[in-house]
Amino acid sequence: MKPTLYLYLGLPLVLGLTACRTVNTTERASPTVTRQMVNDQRIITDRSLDFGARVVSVNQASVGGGDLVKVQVEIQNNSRQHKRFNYKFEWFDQNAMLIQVPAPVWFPKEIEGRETIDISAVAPNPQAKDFRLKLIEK
Amino acid sequence: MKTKIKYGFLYSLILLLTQLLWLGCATTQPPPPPNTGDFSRVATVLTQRLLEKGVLDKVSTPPAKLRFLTVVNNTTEHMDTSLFSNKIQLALNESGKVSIALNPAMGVDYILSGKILSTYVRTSESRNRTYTFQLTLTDPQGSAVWVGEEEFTK
Repeated sequence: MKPTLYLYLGLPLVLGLTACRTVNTTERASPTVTRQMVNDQRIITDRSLDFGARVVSVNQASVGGGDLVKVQVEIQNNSRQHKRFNYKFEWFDQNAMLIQVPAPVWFPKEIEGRETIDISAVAPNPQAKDFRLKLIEK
Repeated sequence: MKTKIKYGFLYSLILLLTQLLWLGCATTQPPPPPNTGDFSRVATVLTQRLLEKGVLDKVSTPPAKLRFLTVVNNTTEHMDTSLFSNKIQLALNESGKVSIALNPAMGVDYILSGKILSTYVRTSESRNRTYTFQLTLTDPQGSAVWVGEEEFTK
């Protein structure tokens, strides 16, 4: 066998083995708490990002004095590769107008292969009733 | 002719060794200090945690009157901590749950203070600095009613 053939056969195997670090997860079979789920709609422009950081579910709760909305989004990495992405929450008032926040920044996040994580945000004020989550590949 | 080739080879070898030596001596750049984006991220996270706890809603006459003490820089780097404290004040003010008391003589419900710490880790491959931002909310009696901490590595 030619040395180049070894390289062609061996390299994908080595790369495949090094990329196989995935996360095993255990959780209660019947959760004791019920989530207040949010029906969501998605606009997917980056298929690769959607595979590596897919939104599984969205739930919300009232926090603080009961007048602030907290949103929690479950993200799953369907690939076997470690993924890095940035996310940002935008908030809207009852008239669907965007609420300007003092520091609109993207938050970096990392997710291991096959891992499920939760990202969350609290509304900046009681006027914030609705939200939009944006994800972008890092 | 042979001597010319020999010298050429020797010259190339010296050049290569010099380059290798130079690369070996090259140091990794120290991590950059926190920027405005870092301050904004930390301020947003800590403010959200404080609002989520609902401590500020427990005052008899809302909004809670808050005095903001300075954020102490306990790192070895120069940092304009007012960039960070201003972002916290803006976010809290935006929440509508707080009114910032600028006059020290004015009676307040809470006092917010902060501290920035850092640890430096140097390995053969990299240099990392982890910054820890701490915020403490105390009542006028001096009891800490909320403590928040956020860190990031550069």
